[in-house]
Amino acid sequence: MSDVVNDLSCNLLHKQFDDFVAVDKLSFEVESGSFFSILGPSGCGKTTLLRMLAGFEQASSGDIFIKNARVNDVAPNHRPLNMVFQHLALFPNMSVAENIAYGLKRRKVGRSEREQKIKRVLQRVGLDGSEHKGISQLSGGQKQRIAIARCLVLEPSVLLLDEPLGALDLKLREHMKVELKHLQQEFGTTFVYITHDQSEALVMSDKVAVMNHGRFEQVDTPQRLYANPHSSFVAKFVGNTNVVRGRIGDVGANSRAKVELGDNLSVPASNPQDLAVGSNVELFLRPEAIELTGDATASQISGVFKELLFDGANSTVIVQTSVGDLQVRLPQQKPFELAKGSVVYLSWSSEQCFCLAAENN
Amino acid sequence: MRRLGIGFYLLLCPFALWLLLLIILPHLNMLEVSLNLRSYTTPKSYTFQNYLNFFEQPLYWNTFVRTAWMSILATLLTLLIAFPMAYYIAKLAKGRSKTLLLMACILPFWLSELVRTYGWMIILRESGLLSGLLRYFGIIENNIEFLYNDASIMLGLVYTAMLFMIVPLVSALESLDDSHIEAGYDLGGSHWNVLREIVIPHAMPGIVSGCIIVFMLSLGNYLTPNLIGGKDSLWFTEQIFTQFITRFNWEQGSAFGILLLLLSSLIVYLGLLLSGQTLSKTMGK
Repeated sequence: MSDVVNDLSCNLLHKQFDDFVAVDKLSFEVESGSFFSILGPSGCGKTTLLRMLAGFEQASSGDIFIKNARVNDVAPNHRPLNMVFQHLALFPNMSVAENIAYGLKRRKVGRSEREQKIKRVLQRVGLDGSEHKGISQLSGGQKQRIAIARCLVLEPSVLLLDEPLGALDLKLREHMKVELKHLQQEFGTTFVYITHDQSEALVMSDKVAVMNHGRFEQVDTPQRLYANPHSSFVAKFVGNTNVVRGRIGDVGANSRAKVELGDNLSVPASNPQDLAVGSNVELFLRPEAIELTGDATASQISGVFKELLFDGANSTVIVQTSVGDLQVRLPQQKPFELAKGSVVYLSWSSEQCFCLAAENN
Repeated sequence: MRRLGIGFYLLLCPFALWLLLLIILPHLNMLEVSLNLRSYTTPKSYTFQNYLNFFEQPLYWNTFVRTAWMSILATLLTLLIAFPMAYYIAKLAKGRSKTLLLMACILPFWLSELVRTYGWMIILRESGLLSGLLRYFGIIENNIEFLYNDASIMLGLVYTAMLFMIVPLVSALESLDDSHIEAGYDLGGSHWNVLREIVIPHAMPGIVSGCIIVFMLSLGNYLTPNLIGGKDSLWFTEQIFTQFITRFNWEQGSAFGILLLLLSSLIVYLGLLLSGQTLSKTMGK
């Protein structure tokens, strides 16, 4: 253990169901007061991990520490952490105040103190005065905030959140993302948030762990995760990207390489894993890193304009090239006349193009 | 407004006929008979004497009170035994074992109630299975008669009613989201807190509808008290039987029938008031 008090840390945490490994000898630490996200596709073991942290699932081996105290053998109702459930699990037969009071009553908090705490926490989540409302009278976003208030009123060391935004419509989800981040900053509680939505994780988190097959592929800040993914899985899962299969033709200094993409086409790229000549790689190119240009000499590749996917500021163009269809982000700096079937040239700076060892499948 | 077609009336027909011919008309007829003065000499005249008899004769009144109390007790016992069973079936058992357990509850009801009651008599009688087993293991010296007492009546009533409690409880508990139970624990609740504040309030409609069915079944049960409890078991339905069949006093029997209907409805109404439920909430789902 390190000297720093981490709110949550795990050491070789392992969970096995019969012959299926859900969580594979995981070790990580979550800094106090940070927003930590676990991002992964469904079936990657993130829910099992969260349920082990909450105490609803027993670890097969390994340790869980909360504030440096081992909690493996502590029952869920005695762990100093609380959980916001996927469907919130607000008690429908109780009012807002009764829902929040439930945990306080279990701690034997006196009536007057209880009422004060409820009032204060409702103010902090911006719902003061709704003590006596029924749960069914609340909107989706309000329910969200009550579910969080119900946990935060207990001042837990760690708050676990199990994809609580999944059930909301898009507009509200965008809004709640920002609001959750602000709530976390205001309360200063450590949040552990699991999600399969990379945009939720990137917007809200201080650190994101990308999980796959029961392991963390990379634990990093959202910026580094996006710019410097350590594995091909992370690069594909975080953000939108073009993937082209190829082979390393030549390596240079400072982790540079030339990647052969077939048809005598080879492009310069960064090679952060320092892969040897001849390795099978995947070349990653973010849509916003590619520029459409009319100048054939300055471009890396030419293609045919195939389709425009208009989505306001997120509009993309699909260009058919010899290495497959590439997505290119619009609007570009220069105005560009586009007609279906016209020839376009694509260019990008070699810094923004990187190759990683190809996944086995 | 759209006019209801002939199809609607055709579908309504069986229900309306059933209600009218088998429920409303017999009861109206019984009400009329119960108000007749029983006399072979005077011409037909109306009186409340049959109802007054019920309140004036302590035997009738006491039999009814005893029947009601025993039925309430049987209902509570059934609830106490059925709740953990239903919880296990609805929440803990998975897949095949769940189906098997529910089947095991339903299976005895493929036999007629008479056969099941005789089954209990074979087990409980003086020369029966239980007595023999106890003697075999040397716990008792002489055979003991387990039949013909209140405890054996209670056993029979609870056994008969069990299924009608388990089924509504299972369906009420199944609709409870597991995450509500987990949230209860997560916020620091003990087993007892979670049961009292989350599981029971959610299952309340199922509990109440199960209790109403079991109470009515017990109160109106004739076979179990009569066969397991014997001729002196003092069950109210036996009084009605005696009036109609033994004493051929149809007027008195009808009055008892109407009284049973009214008093049991009153008890159910009080039960609903006490539990804060409404009939539409418990039956309407």
